[in-house]
Amino acid sequence: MNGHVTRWLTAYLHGELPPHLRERVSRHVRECDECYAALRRERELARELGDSMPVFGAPRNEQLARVLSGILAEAGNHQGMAAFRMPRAGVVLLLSLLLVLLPALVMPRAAAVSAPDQPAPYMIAATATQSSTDAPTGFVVASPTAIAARQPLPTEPPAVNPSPAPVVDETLPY
Amino acid sequence: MDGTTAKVDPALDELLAACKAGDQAAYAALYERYAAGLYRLAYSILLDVQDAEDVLQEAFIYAFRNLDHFDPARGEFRTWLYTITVSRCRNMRRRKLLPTVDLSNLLALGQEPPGPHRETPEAALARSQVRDALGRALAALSPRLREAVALRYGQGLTFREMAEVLDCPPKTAESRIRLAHEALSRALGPSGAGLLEELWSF
Repeated sequence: MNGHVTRWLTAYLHGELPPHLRERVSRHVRECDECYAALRRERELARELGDSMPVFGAPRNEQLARVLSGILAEAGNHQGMAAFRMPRAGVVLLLSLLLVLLPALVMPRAAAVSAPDQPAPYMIAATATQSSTDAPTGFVVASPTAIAARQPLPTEPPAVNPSPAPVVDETLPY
Repeated sequence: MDGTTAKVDPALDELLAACKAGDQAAYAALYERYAAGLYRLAYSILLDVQDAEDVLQEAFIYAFRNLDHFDPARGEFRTWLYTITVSRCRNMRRRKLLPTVDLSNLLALGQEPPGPHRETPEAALARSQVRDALGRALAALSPRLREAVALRYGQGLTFREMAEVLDCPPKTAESRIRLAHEALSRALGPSGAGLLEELWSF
């Protein structure tokens, strides 16, 4: 018999066919032994799966309790369930602070072993009245009043580190 | 959700609101409500107890931390949880590449499915044989087909809901079930088909 409907039998069994196709399959399997036998096999398999899968791998209570305690422990590491509600903005703020503070913690030591900054003209002017013998040869030290009087130069980089863009978790289902 | 409206569940809405307010009992209640189903889903896909437990824990921690990301207008809460769980299962599979499956572990797990009332000893034997054969056949399925079987038969999702969880068109979800049927039938062979007929042809 032509026009077998085997490709639609699964959807037919699951009630997911549009009405016109459903009618066509119903009509066909009444007349076609081959498709009728296929439908019976499909139905028997679907019934068995529908019977066994809902309890397949059912967990024991102690398993669920173990997992729950793991979840609670994770929450405990963050000081309670409220940690689950920690806003993402808090994480971003923390990262921003780290990014701002990290150079401040690392750079002074790095700056000490690298070449000194080019002295600004007002610093050179201030050393004209200074007679320090403690300063290493070749270095000029500005007086405290000169440093206090120092104004930011227009060419200096901005003092504020811009915050990084929020991290987007690509695994989010939505 | 393709324009369809998500089912309204007042009890769930209250539970979610309580969680968002930081109610610890609400978190435990939410876990109790969905944990068993999500574990079965994870186990049906991964076929490993420890991995399923790990995925369950990861999925709930993620869900609890991201409750604000759940949008009821886009789907049901359980579908959202299934999406998270399937995603975590895929990650776990990628990490471990699951080389083999311990069949004894697979078949011994969980409570015995309820058989029909007043089952004869012959029918009980046939059922046991079918379950064994089906367990082996499921283990031999590709992970994608096993996901589909677990969602359709294990969790009772429609093809449309499956498509939402698996991030594929409903037609693809349907074809995965059809392919799974074909693969399972092949794996069961004529003897398995005969046992199924003995059990279910009425």
